[in-house]
Amino acid sequence: MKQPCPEKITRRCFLENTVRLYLSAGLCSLFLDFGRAEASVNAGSGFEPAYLKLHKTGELKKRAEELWAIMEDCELCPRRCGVNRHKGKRGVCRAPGTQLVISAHHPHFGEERPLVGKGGSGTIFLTHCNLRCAFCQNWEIANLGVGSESNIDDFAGMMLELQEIGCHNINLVTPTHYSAHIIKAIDVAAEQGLRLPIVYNTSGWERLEILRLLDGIVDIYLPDFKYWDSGMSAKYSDGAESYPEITAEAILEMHRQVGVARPAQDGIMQRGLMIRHLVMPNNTGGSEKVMEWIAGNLPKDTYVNIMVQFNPVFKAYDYPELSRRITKEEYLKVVNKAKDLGLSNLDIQGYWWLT
Amino acid sequence: MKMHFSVAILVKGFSGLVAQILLLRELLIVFSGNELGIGIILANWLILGAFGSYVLGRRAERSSYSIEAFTVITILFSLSLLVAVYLTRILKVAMGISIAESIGIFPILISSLLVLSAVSILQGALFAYSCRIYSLYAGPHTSSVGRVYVYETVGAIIGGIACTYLLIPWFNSFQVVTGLALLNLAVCLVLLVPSWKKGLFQKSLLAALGVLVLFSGYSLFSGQADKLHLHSIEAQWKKQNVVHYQNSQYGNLCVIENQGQYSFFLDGIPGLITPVPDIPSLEEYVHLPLLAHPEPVNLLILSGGAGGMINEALKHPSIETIEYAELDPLLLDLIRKFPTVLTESELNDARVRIQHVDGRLFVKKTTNKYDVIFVGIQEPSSLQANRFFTKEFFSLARQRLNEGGVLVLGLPGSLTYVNEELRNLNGCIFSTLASVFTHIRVIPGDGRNLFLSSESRGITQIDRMQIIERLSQRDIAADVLVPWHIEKKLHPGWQDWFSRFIEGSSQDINTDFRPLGLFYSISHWNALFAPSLRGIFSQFERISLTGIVLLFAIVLFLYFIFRPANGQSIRGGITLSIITTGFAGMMFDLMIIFAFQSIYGYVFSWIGILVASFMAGAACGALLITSVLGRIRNHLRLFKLIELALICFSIAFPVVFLAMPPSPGGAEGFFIYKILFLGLSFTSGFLTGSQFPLANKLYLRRSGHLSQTAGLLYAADLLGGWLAGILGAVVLLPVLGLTATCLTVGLLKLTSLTVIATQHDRHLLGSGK
Repeated sequence: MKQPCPEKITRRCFLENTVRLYLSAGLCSLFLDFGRAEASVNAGSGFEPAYLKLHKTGELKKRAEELWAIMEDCELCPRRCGVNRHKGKRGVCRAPGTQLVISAHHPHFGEERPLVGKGGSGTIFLTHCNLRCAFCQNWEIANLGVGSESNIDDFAGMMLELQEIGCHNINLVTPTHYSAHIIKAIDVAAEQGLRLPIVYNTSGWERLEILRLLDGIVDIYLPDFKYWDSGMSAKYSDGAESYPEITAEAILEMHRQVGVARPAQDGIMQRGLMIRHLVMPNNTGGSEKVMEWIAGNLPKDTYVNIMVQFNPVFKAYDYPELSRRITKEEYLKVVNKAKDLGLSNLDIQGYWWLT
Repeated sequence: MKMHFSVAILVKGFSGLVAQILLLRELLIVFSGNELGIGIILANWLILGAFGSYVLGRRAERSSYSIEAFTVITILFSLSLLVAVYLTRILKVAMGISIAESIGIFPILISSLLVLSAVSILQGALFAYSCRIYSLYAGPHTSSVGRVYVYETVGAIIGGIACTYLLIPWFNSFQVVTGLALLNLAVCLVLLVPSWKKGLFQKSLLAALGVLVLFSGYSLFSGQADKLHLHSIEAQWKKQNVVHYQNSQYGNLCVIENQGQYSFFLDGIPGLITPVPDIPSLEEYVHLPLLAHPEPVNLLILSGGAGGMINEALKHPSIETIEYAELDPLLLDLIRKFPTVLTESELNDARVRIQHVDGRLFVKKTTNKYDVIFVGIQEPSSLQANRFFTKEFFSLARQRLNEGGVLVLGLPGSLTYVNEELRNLNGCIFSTLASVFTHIRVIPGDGRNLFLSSESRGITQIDRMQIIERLSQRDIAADVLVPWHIEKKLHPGWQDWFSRFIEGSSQDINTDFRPLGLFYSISHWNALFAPSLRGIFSQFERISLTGIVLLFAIVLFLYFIFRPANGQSIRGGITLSIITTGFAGMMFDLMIIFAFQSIYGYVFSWIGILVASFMAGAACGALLITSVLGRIRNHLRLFKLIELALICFSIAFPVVFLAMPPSPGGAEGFFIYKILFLGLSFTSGFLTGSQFPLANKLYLRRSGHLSQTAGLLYAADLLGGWLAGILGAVVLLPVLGLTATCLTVGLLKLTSLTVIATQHDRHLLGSGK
């Protein structure tokens, strides 16, 4: 049984854990300089993204239409606003009806290592958001709604462009309210040669009904598990009381669809569930409970990224309990808990600060 | 009695400027003060004053209760000032905006308009009433207006100096406001006493005054004003534990304590949190350049060193000295006042030398050379900040770097929202760096793009292997591998990413005298928070001197076509002249301070001295003209001469700056510069001030309209200033540059001179008085 690393993470301890992790996934190649890694995941590796099959049978188009129809009485997310987005009405997410708004698309080299590889993760940032967290680190696009209007063809074009540049995946950030658009665009892009896996980079707060429609389309789920306590989620995310309950269910469904995240030979992730959790001051996120839940309900080698970068921004100063940064001790407590629980696939960002 | 009233005008001038400075500062604390915000708030103050002067000024004419009206207006002014200060403090809370939340220009425009309205309108009205009352005592000749202008300006000079050196550093806003009320009301009391027999109204007014004087005296001396101050801070920083709130000469500093962590807010903007810095951001910013350099020994940090940066830098064993220039001593005093293990070890380390001086001035004066220079300014969002992003500064910095030295600079960046404005900002500064340094390594990031510039090639080649090698050589963090958040910054893919990012964006160079970086920074801010202005701003960028010349030519052409043939009143021309002179005066004031800062550095006391010099010039000019008014025969000719002088000044102004060598030699050099700037300041004030009494004289047909005229022309003056406030710093100066802006001012004056010269006023042909 692994011992948790002491406060002062020694190289030996860190390396031990790292070696164990990588060996268990069979990835000695990670010790090599990335410059020598294979470029594209599709270079003769035989990988086919899940959606290709559905595209060929026409099922993809059908699913897109189904999702599109849901927007008439919009219930794409657990808010279930019921507004008619076809008529341009806006729900809590503030998306302008069915108009697609995108704030950026480019190869991103800062996402999780297995998503970045050599060619980067092809991120497409979708404007607007249904959670509206008070501490949103991305609040200019999530809350202010800045971005450019696009259509489905543009969207598909972006995906193909990112593939051409050499990205290893299409990473859709804050996709929940635009799921219909996404499927439509994938359908169009697949027709024109898109072969990259789709990363669904979501807040985690997803309805099972919608997730089932994404079954066989998304290869990599990248959900957050932000809060354990529904009182907290209601307070800081604009009344999202059902967040813990719904997200837990959603993550289980995601796992059922794509399984544990195991990178391919070249270190690039092709399929699987990757969970993110941001440690917040004063245990607002209920971090230890979240780790307990993961350890108790998912395989021990589920990929978990425990993030440290909380900054009090946007409306955080309205809440004294959120008006500071997390301490070294707060972070290490969560990490050690996760290790104690036997979680072995942790991305814990070994900061020098932690030594 | 005349003497008493002269004192009253002095006090009014004093109060007006103190109120303006106080309210502007309070508003800038609430709304992050970038150059556009400053300009808009100032412009609002001026336009409201113009409104008050013009609209209420006409009523002054008809009023037979001048002193009573003056008193009532003063009472209202004092009360509304108090309310305005309180309102400003709770503005963000009232609007539902959180402490760390940025907002756009429209909420700033509207809320500052509301807050300033009563105070500024009343202050403007008081000018017209002052002229009326003074003329009642001194006789209805127009020299009254000139004298009132002089007294007011002198009062303002005293107010400016008192505010800067005494009131702001030593007292809080509520104490100042209460003190002002006491002063003004006491003066009104003295003025009104002789008329107490006139009637019931006067008696009750006097009684009210007496009560108010006592009340304000009590509030001031018994600490009630203080209580109000503390109460307003509590309301402003709701739920937070404010442990310190103080104004330094440079700005406001507020410290909040939260479970052992201290957040320092500089002018309302979250600055640093001790003892936990923003780790990912900090480690990248400090360690990448230091690891890129083979052996860093001497470092220079320009702002932002405390709170973690020095701590990280000291981990590199080769470091022998860290020179740290932080302008505001109060910041470090407060960091020491709330000590943490981290900050204490940083600031007390023997290798650290702290200087309280403007970073740019330090770089200019020092003869030391450094291995790495860190520029801690976030972005060129104000004229002050832009000085750290110009070609001239980069050249200076390069001279202060040892061989293989690195300049480290950050700019706003985003991986989540890419827009044209952000690309232009980065493209412009990147081109500016490229015009000075041979090698630049860009490290894009979310929130900030990092630029490492050097004459040595090594900087562009840092990669993961080199980092690991150097880390083990230096025995730093030997227990831990390179963290992913560092490694991911070195990914070779970022270079292509950045090239793609700035493709097609601005490649113009940002210089001291053409602060384009400021323009792009403001444009970017608008793109985020006031997207409806994006169209206008992109049009602004296309303004050119040729376009302006064309515009004026067309305007003059149309004027010649459409003016009535049979000669008309010259009054329109006079008003136009005063508007354009008001514009010119404000622009010169702005440009002198701006040029001084660029060449010499930001020295707070000198800003005050330059402004005072300008106002002294204005007072002298007005005084001189007023005293010779009776002896001149052709007033119009003198007026035109002053117009001409202003045009010549506009042309001479840039010549003077261009002729000056960029680096003054030694102490005598600096001394000459200072004298020169004072002279320029005084002269521009002199020319501006001399026109005003003359204009009043020319405008007046019958002396019965004295205060109405005064009100109108004062309003015109403020209107000109308003235009300069809005467009001057943010659009004209950055887009056109100093020279072309001066020429624009000259063209404007030429236009008004042409209008006057070609108007034939029957009433004034050959008239003497």
